[in-house]
Amino acid sequence: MKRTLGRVWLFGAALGFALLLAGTSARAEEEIHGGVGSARTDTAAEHVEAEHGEHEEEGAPSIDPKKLGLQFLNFGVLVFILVKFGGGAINKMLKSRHEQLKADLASASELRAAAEAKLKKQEARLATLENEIADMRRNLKAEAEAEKARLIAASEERAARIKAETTFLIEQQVRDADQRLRRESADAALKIAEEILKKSIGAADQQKLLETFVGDVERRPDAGRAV
Amino acid sequence: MAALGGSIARRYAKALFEIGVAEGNYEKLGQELEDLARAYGESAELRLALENPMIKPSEKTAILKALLPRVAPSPSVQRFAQLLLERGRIGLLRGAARAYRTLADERAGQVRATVTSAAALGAPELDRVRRALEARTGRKVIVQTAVDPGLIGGVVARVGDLVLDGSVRTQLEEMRHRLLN
Repeated sequence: MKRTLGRVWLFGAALGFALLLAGTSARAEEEIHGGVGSARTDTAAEHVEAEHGEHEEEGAPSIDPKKLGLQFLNFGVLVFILVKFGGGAINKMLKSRHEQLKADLASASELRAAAEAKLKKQEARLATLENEIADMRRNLKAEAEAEKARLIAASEERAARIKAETTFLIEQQVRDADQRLRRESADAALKIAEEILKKSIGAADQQKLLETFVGDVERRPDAGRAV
Repeated sequence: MAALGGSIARRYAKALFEIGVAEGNYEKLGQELEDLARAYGESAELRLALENPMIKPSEKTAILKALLPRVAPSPSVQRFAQLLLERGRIGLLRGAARAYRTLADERAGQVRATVTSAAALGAPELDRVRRALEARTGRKVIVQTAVDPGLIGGVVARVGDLVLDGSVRTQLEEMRHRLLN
């Protein structure tokens, strides 16, 4: 860094020297053209106008070989200074810039490769996306069919159970109704029979019942019950 | 509780019966005991007086002593009744009388039967029933009668634990059972 600053300082000094040299040559040229400086100063406007008039009269500027030679010399010194003192820094800067550009290019190349790989991957996925969608559709349909079958089976099983329970309840109610009907019929029949017997049983019937009872007691050892 | 009372009554009755057998007058003692039990069962005032804990024992004894000579003149029956009163068992008098009668019937080789009919039976019919029951039990049967119009017709005889049912009511119930099953 310190070395670079020294070079820049030297480059600046050489450039100043060159400019000083260029200014000196310019004044020498003026002196060659104008004679005494102060006298010409007083009549500068007139001289300019006169010179202008001369130029208009001559038509094209003339080339002074001496002035041209000094300008070439000046340019050569400037080129020398630039090459001598600024060439290294410029080369280094250009080299650094070159390396940076190379690194940027490499990085860009890698990014591009990665992007291309990603692009290929996405393209491949896009290519298989239709198949995936078709698979998903098939799976969803199969699951829906399975769920439908399960629901139907469950509904049928429940319907069968309800039917069995209902059948059982109906049979139970029919049995109860049958029993109730039998009981009521029997009660009604016996009530009627009792009423008829109460009215119709006479002394002869009582005698016959007594004879039957006595006969049973005498002939049937198993007649009667223990209490 | 009733079974316990019956058991106690039988023990008291057996004691009196053994005294009667020993004295040779168990039939007479049994009759007096039945008369006393009937009088006790038919008089609510007598039961209330003898079972009421608010009445003094001496007063109860006096009441019983006033009654006994007229109903049960035998000293054994009087002592028996006084013993029940002293032990607070006078309420077992009717049960003791029944147990005594059973013991006496067993000793005499006889059994009592209750014959219930829908209408009152005449003497020939009762005699036929008695003979049939004697043939069935093999023992002499003493028949007691009762009338229950609810039987509609026929006879029901109860001999000890055995019931012989020839009533129309029972036949109707059996018919109802068959109809339902």
